[in-house]
Amino acid sequence: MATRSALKSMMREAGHRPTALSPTTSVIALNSRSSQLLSHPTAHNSAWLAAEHPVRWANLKAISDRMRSVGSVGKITKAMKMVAAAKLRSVQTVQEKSRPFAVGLQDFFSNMDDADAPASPDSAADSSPSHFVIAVTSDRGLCGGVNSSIVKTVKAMIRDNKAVDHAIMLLGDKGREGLARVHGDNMAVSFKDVFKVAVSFPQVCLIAEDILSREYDQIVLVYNQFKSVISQEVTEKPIVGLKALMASAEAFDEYEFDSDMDSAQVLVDLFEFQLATQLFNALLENATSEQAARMTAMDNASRNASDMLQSLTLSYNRQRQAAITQELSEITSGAAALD
Amino acid sequence: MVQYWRAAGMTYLKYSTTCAELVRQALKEPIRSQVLNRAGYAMIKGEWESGKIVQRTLIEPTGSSSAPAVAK
Repeated sequence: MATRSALKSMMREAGHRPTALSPTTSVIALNSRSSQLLSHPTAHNSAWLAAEHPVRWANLKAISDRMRSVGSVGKITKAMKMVAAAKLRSVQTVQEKSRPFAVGLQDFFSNMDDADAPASPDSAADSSPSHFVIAVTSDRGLCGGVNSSIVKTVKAMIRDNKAVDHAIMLLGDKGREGLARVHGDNMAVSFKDVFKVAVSFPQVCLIAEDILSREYDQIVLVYNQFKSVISQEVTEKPIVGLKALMASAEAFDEYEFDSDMDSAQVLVDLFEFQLATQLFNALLENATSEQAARMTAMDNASRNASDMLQSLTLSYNRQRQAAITQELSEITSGAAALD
Repeated sequence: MVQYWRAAGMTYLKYSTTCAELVRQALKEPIRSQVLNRAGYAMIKGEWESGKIVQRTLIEPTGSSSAPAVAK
């Protein structure tokens, strides 16, 4: 527990803000323990040094304790980095395979935007349009700014479009505190433990069906698009709602629908499939970004740990040397006084 | 004309996942267990009302989201 809180403080020093603050009790525990350590060094299993000169060696004991904890935190972050790297590789292959599906369908449905400008709900002036915002966050923390940037984007979206009714669907657990505090009234539904096992299409279909059962003019997917291991970009992907789509169905007239159903029916099917595909891709992009960000964050944290350990070792040796020198001079001056 | 499954209140996604499930069931053995083991998740769905989660449901691969399984 103590190492976990030390980990968090180290992340903070590295300029990262962990979004979860759940183990606050362990922070308090650590503080009380270290202050106890400083005031009563002999109360602990201190070395023979402390027995004779409690004050002089107390500081040294505290530093060596700190060195040990920093060292083990460094080991943990290094291990977490390795795990994130392995997970990144496996999720990235799936993500790369899902991208062509999402891009292809998006291209097809973008025909409509070209043909019918007023279909864009922002310009629809009759009644206040409603947007269904799907915020994709991760289930676990310690992954840099991935989740906080999603929360920030959603907040800005709601702030800048006051004329629009927003309902939020939250995927993953880490955006909950940030969004529920300010936009609790906008929250409609949340799914957590989405990323616990590798995201699968049937699982995404269940989420998509929940989306389909709701009323809105437009869906906005907010997720981290994976660019590379060191760069992830918050993306807002709009998906026009079914009502607006059917209103401008003639945009698809040039396509030949090879089906015994009429083209409107096929369009409805295709819309549902497109929603699930885009959602699947967004979840995978975000999962990839999460692992990449965790890798970078843990790399920074272990680098910080080794830096910290280095400076602690330096001050430990300096103080040890100072104490020895002082003790020597006391002995020699005492001997000199006796002569 | 409406598709028979849509008339029964299914969405395209529900229809296609059900079909996919049936195809998986019909596979032959070495592949069958491989494929069936792949799917496995347990999400928790929370319904919100005025800033609070009012109802939680556990969603598992059986497809049907069960009754309120998880209390607060």
